[in-house]
Amino acid sequence: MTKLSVRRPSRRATRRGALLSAVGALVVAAALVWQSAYAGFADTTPALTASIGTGTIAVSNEVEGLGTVTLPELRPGVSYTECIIVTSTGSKPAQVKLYVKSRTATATGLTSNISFSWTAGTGGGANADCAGFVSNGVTVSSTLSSFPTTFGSGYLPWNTAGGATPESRTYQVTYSLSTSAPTSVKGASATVVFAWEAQQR
Amino acid sequence: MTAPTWRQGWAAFTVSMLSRTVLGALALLLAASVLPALIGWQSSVVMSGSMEPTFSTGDVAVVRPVDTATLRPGAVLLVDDPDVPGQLRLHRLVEVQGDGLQLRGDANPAADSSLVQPAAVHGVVTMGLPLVGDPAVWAAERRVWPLVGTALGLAALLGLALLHHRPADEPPAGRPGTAATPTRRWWGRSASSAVRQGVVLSSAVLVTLALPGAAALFTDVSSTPSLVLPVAQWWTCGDVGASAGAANYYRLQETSGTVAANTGSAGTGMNATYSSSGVTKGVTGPNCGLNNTAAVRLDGSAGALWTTLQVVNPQTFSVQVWFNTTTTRGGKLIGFGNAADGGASSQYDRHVYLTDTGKVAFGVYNAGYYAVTSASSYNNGAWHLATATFSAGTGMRLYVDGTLVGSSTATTVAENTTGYWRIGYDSIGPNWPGVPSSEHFAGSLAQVSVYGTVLTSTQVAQAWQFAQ
Repeated sequence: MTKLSVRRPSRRATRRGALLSAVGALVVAAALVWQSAYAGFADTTPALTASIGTGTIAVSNEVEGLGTVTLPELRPGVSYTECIIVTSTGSKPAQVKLYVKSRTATATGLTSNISFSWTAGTGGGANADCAGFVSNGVTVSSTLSSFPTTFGSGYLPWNTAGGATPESRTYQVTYSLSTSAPTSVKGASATVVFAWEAQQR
Repeated sequence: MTAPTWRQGWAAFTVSMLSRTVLGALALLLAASVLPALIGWQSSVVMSGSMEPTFSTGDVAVVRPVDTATLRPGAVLLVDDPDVPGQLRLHRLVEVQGDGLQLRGDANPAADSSLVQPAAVHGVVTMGLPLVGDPAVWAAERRVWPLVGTALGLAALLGLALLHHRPADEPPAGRPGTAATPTRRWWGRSASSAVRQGVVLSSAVLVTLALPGAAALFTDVSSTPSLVLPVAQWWTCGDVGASAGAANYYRLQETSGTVAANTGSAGTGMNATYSSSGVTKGVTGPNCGLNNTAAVRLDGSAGALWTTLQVVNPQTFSVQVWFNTTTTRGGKLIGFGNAADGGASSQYDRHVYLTDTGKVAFGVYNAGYYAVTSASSYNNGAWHLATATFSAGTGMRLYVDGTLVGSSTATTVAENTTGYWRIGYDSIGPNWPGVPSSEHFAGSLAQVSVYGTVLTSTQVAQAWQFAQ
């Protein structure tokens, strides 16, 4: 046999080796934990990160960034309709919902007398024009005062697939002042910011 | 059946030591992720990357319960997802607001839209354990191959860890005489020992699979600009008239009866009276706003309206009337005359009438017949707005559809008469320019008003614009 031809660790070396691997395991585990703990508990919020290593969620609309837009004057019995294209460019599947981000009014009771109907669909939408818009059959309506203000209760959920190809949806909005609006709101104004939020799903 | 001698050498020994180190480290991480539960802490697998670079997908966050009153921005919290009931969210606290906690994923450009209530906070993340949650993530994503690969990798590591084997003549200390038991297999260890280790390791892995996943969610928000929705000051043509100070304003929206209500400042005493015949109420009118889209049609032979309260010699006034006709016989739209109850007046001027060709004329009498006449005809079946103004200072001005179509300062005085406002009929006589065939107007009228002032060109244009 070649038993003696192979150099073998002594029993003492084996014991030391066992100890060494136990200590090594502890060191490796501790290093991993401590490193993550260090990253996680620095008491500052990291700067905004534009690129996300494992994927993106990104949603945009064609009118954002216009500052303040004053819409045509409302009066009872008159409604206006416009269309807005919303585009999702995220790489990950997301759900997009519509809600009111902020709302104010200069007269009491105004927000409960302004109604919005939103319809999701395709086509149209360039420069707020609805020519070519095709509804997908779902319309939600609400007064400004009772319009959802959180993603959880948001309207018209839209599941995007994510990936390299941008996905677009057109939203048609019709808004009007109630025919039973009190005359006390004459000359007042409401201000609203709608938001489409995309959350990873 | 002793192990081959190469497994007793330094090479096998080194490989085994390294494998045991890796396995030991994994075991410690697993223990660290599971054992805190014994003291009431919580562990959660990070299921997405929105807390990059702090936490990556597959990390296990060990969460310590915390008194929410002591929370400070910067802490990473595990909370009930405010947007998705039943889910957990792992994000960093950025601001404590009056009505909740604002959180943000480190990798998200903006803070979460929904605030988190303190009651929804599970705790603050105390420790992050890399890697150990990966199987849970793969399981959640139904990715079988990484799971299988990991299992095979662990099995291989286990095999390598057991690679080194002491020679049979060197039994382990403390276990003399057990060196050559019949249970030995080719791997040179007791099968029960290897199985035992494998079972421990795989059950630890399985425990991590059971850890709740926290969606450290990715989010992005796209907002509209600030949309200002102004409410019009004027909702109807009557509002425009009221803002201009109309004393008499007859919307002519009645559907029955003989009273044409005055909504102007002169009050109900200035209500007008419909003739008992020749008036069709509720026909289509100009677009004058909610509940103001009707008109009355006069038949051209009997239909008319008049006021019943005497007015003494108005010298500054404006009159305004919406009309729609195709008549070729002309007729009086509105005027001032001395006969009561709709009779034929002997003194009559301050009138706006149509000629047979559909031109609009405005006449004032001052020991002579002063009139201005439009160049165009308006008997085309569309709604038109005629406005006439008069005062000593401004003379006569005639507007049609909001635009000045004639003016004269030839007279600064109107006939000294006490009388009534007449709509749709009164004497015209033979002497006025373009005198029409019919004194009765045949066509529709709406939103008739009288002012004690001279309307400005702006006010006239606003009245026209409102209904466009």
